Amino acid sequence: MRYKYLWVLIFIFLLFIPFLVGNNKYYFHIIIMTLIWIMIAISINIVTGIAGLLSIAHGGFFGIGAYTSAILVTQHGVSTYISFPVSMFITGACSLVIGYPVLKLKGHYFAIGTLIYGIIITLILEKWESLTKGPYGIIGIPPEDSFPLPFIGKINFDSLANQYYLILIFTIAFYSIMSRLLKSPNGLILLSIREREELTESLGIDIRKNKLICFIVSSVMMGIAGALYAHYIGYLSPEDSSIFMQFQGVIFCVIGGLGTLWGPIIGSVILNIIPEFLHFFKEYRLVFLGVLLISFVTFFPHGIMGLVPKSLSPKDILRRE
Amino acid sequence: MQILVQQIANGLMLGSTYALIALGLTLIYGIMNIPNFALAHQGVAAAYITYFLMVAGKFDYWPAMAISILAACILGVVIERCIFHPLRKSPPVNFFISALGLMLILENVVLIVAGGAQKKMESGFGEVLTIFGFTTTGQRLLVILIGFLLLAACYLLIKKNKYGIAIAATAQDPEGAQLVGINTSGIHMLTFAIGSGLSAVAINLIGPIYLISPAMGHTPIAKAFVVVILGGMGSIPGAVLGGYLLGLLESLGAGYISSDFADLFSFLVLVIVLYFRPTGFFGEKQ
Repeated sequence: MRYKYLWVLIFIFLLFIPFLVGNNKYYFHIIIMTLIWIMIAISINIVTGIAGLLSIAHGGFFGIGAYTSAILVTQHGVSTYISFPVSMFITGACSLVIGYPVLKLKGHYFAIGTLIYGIIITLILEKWESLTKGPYGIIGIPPEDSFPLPFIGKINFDSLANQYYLILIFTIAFYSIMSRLLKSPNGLILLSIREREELTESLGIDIRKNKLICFIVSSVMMGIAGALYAHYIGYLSPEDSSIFMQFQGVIFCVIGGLGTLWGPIIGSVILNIIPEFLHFFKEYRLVFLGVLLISFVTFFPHGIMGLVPKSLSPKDILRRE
Repeated sequence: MQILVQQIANGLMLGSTYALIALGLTLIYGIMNIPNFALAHQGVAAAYITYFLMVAGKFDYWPAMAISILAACILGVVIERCIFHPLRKSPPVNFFISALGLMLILENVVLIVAGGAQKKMESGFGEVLTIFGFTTTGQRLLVILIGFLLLAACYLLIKKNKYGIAIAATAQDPEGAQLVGINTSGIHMLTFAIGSGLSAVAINLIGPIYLISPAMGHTPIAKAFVVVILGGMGSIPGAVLGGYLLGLLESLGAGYISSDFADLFSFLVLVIVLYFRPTGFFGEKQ
């Protein structure tokens, strides 16, 4: 527990960010989007980093979660307290239907199989115009319903600061899910599946069941991130669920350190915040990301976390072998 | 009847394009186990070279295309040496991630150099022909013809030529190939050059039919992956037959069921096939 006080400091810093930023909407937007990207990267890290399954359907689950909540709220007038659980349920059901057959595949076949499902989800969102408004997208998604607190009154989520706190709570929850998973027996099973699948199976472990549970959990997390994004940003289009969104999440994980505890967070923070300050760079941003991705995979396969000396990194860090 | 012939001609045209890209993909996968996501984007970069040679250099279609295909082959070798060769001993996930990175780079470099607007490529074969009562354009027939000839040539290369046999041997057993004196590293470069060249031919041929744009590689590469999985990864007859089959299925589906859902149709076919035969029709059992 040598990082006990560091955590407290980080937590206090995160709590005070809205006061530091003040009324600058632009900085608020960057910070909130960074948190959403951290959530996406954590979900991808669970399925790709810990279990070793390079799924490219997860961008689609982000879209399913976002669209479900947005459609329920804008077209049926449902409260967000109902639409969030429903969108979690629907994302989970979709990931079960997709994951069950696709987890029969291994290696590149799995990646390409999930890629095809990812494309199918985006195509459906684009073509099913009566439900999703097609390429025009859904506009005017309200923020989450206010939260009643005894004695204090109601907390409205229409201000940026409150959106920030709401999304921060979910991000911390995502982080604790991931760190719990890494320390739990289930996490160790997933790690051993990543390293030696046949050996794990020979120990009598049902690898398909474990993979499926991991796939569904990370998809549902992706769906929650999607729903939060939808209510924060207020509009959705089929591009929000495209495979490119997912690629960006993978890039953040790889550059931070795939399969490590801090990797997805460090990758998302660095790659979201630095480019915003380099405006002249905007056009070249994606080229730069591509070059960075290839050079990290080639020269630093453990990402930024792999560069941190062992004595400074947390004890529970899991490096990719 | 006329509609049927028209749709079949369309299907053969689409099928030739898919088969060419899928053949490149499957060769590269068979030799190096790389799912090269950026292959169609390499072709798109080549199509832009053709376009600029024709517009700025006042070249004709054929010489411009020849130069751009040569450039695509060289680009393929450079990519193999710089990106995939250093990774050959790392876990398979890294190939996939590098290919994604390459795709991002190629698409956005083309976008920065040429701009996002769609460009019209004039090949001089755009005139409408009427043969036996059905109408088509010369370019479409050209795609079918060149596609067919090139696939036949590749087949002969692999079966009869010294280098082709070396490619097949490296795909079967890399260490065995090295033992009998095959320069497998050179074969890797050769395969990458052939694959990139095939993809450049395909995109150059469909360029004048559709408009060219930096993002035009996404659909062909997704379809080529569908084809390669349908046929079995690494299988050459699988890629060719699968390409034509998918092209025909898609154009008949678009003609008789719904053109809106034509893309969805081919992906759904793949989902069904993957469910029952996860390694495709010609693939080896896992």
